[in-house]
Amino acid sequence: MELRHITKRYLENDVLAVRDVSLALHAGEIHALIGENGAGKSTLMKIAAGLLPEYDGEVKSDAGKVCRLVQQHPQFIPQHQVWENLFLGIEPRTRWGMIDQDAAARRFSALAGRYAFPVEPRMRAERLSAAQAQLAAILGALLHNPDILILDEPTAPCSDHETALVFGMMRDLRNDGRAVVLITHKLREVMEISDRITIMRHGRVVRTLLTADTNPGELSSLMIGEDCQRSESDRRFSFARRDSGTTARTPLTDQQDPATAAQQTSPPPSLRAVDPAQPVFELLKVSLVRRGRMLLENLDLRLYPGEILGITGIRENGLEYIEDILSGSAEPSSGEVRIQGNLPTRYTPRVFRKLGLAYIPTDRLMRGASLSSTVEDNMILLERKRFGRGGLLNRRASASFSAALQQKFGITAVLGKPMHTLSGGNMQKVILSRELSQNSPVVVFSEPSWGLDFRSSQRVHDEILRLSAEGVGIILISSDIDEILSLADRIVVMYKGSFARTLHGSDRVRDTIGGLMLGIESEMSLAAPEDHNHDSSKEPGQ
Amino acid sequence: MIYYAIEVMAPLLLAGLGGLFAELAGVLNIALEGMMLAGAFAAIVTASLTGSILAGMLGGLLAGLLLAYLFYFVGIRMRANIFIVGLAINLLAAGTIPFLSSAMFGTKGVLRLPNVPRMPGLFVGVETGFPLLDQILFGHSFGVYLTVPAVLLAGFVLRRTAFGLRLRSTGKNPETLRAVGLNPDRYRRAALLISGMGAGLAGSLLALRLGVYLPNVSAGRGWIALVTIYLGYKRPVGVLIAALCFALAEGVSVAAQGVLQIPGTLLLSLPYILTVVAMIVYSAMRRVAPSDA
Repeated sequence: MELRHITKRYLENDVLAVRDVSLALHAGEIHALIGENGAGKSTLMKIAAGLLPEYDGEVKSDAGKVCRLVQQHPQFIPQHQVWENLFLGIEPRTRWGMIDQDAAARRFSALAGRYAFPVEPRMRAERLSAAQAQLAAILGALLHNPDILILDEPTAPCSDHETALVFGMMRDLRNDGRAVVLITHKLREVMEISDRITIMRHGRVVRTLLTADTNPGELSSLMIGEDCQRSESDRRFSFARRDSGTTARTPLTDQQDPATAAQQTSPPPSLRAVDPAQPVFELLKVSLVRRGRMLLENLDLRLYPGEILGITGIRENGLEYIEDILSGSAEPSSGEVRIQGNLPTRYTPRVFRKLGLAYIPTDRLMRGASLSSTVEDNMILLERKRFGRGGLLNRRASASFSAALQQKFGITAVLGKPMHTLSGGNMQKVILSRELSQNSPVVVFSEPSWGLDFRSSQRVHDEILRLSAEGVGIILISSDIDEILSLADRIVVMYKGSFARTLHGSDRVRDTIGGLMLGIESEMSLAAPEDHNHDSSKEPGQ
Repeated sequence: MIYYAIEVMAPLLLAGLGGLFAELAGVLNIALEGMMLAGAFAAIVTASLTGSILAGMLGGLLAGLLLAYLFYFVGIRMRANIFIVGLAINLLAAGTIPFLSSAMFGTKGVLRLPNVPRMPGLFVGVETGFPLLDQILFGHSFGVYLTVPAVLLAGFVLRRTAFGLRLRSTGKNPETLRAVGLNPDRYRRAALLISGMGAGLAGSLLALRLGVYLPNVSAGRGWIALVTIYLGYKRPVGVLIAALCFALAEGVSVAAQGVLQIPGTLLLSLPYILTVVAMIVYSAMRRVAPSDA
């Protein structure tokens, strides 16, 4: 199969996910596709599998070749049995359209037995563990007898044993002369199983190379990118600000005694009446367990006024759960959250907001905005009391309020238009304007420039810096290393639900972060001792 | 009383089974009532024209089918709101039938047409020596004996056939169908047409048993049929049991009219009161159930 000049733009949020990518897949080969979050890997493979009908470019494959994609989170009908899910559309039949359940069971058992996948066909799909569901989905794809099998992070929920089973299956397919594509973050797996590697970054193919010719160090730097794509002026601006604002913004480490830190720093007059030594937001030994899985483990974090604390990591490592914890959307299984020293009475975004926390979510379409309401209505969501008048809204007051926000944030959309008509950039600005209109002392940004074009994300970054200069404590959750590096004073890297390390000052090096994100820091020193990726600092983690 | 309940159950069960297909395909057919009514009217008219019970039933079935296709075309093909379409079909049936009735036969009231044969009873006079059993099993009108095979057939189609699996999958998650290259709308259409046939046939049983068309002969049974789907936990046998419960309630209320001192109108509302109570119990049980799993 060959992909030629594929370009895909998602209309819903105007994201250019894949840009002019060409890729050839060869029979009898395991091809690894690696890259950061949002690099376009999954989108590209959905196009290859024919799941996304609208794209530019050309997918060439021989007639009659079957291409199946096993998506990252298999979608089963939970109430149906496993075999019913897998044989949907390809039911073996007897007379009168009856399903030949024996034939189905035989085919399934033969396939599951061949690869020793421990999946019970008569089980209801909802009772499958995440790893079993993954294996079942792979079996489902294999039932279609594919010439090309694409696996999107198949080993994410798997233990070592299950990973070995998946790899065994992949090798078997390769030896059978079929093409296998493995989308993954795990470099160790790539080195172990693949024959050829393609690295994607920002929707483009960075390079395709043979596994035998490379090493994890090279892959890691290709994935994360040595060159900064951000413009120089951007960086200069942020560094200049950092220099001028040092007094208020000296990063306070958790190891430092806040009292002594306070003596060293005297807040500039622009700072609000907040005590810079008092953390405005704290996590104390916070853990989150769901369905017996430890999603977040023992997190400690203190945020001080005027500080930008970056939290980064690769998807599936807890970034999405920490967003829930920080915003009040999920209650920690243990530990405490304190906002301006106060414990929330309940873990809801509403209570968190009342305590002084504003939240700009990753998922702006679902969480951040009411898409069918007008821009103005979205802006005044938090101002119910202010514009309420005997059960009616004071439209004149709300109009002037939203017009003021519109001007302040440079929103180029009509206030009376429904939210879903807005571009991603404008939508983010509307949400920002609403959240920041509350003058909260803590603001949580999650992936603030996700899906935005360069100019829009620039504006959002300027806003973050301005807030920080005003003394607002900011938590910036982002998987974009460039964003984290250019904005954050202190960087926390998450790996497998824990804070792998806190970095500040000279530690804040792209490669160090990249290594921590991928969890290969220790492996790196074994696998590639000549590599530059390990960290010189001996600062202990949190 | 039991005998009467069994008679009442038959149309309820047919409409409920049809509605079950639609429900499982993810389309709540709230037009069952209108489809039943149209079926009843069409059945009497065709029976009168042909002099045949079977033709009458076929007429009722086709009337339900026609409305179901309208439902599909507007609600699924044209993507109109399902609830509005369903309501519109109910109103359409309730409004058009008196018009047709007065235009064709000069009356909006009870339609007593010549040449309508009586619904024959089967196994009349067969006795086992157990009166209760006899009441349940024997001597019922012909249509009643259609219902038991209907339950088995529905169960077979839904559980055992590829069509049934796909139909059920459509209701649970249409995206999975699309992912394997099937068109969920095809299964929605099939399910709606089946529900239309069920409701039309049910209407024809109502009218042909009486031999006349009464205005509003369905009397909310289409809605009760909708309730039996949920009460029967969306299974054919469950629908059978639920329909039997409602039929018994109706039997009791009719029988009690002559015996008790309670106003007849209040007694006759018993099945409807039961509907409300049943729905409350059902939702309460639903709330408990998930925590067991």
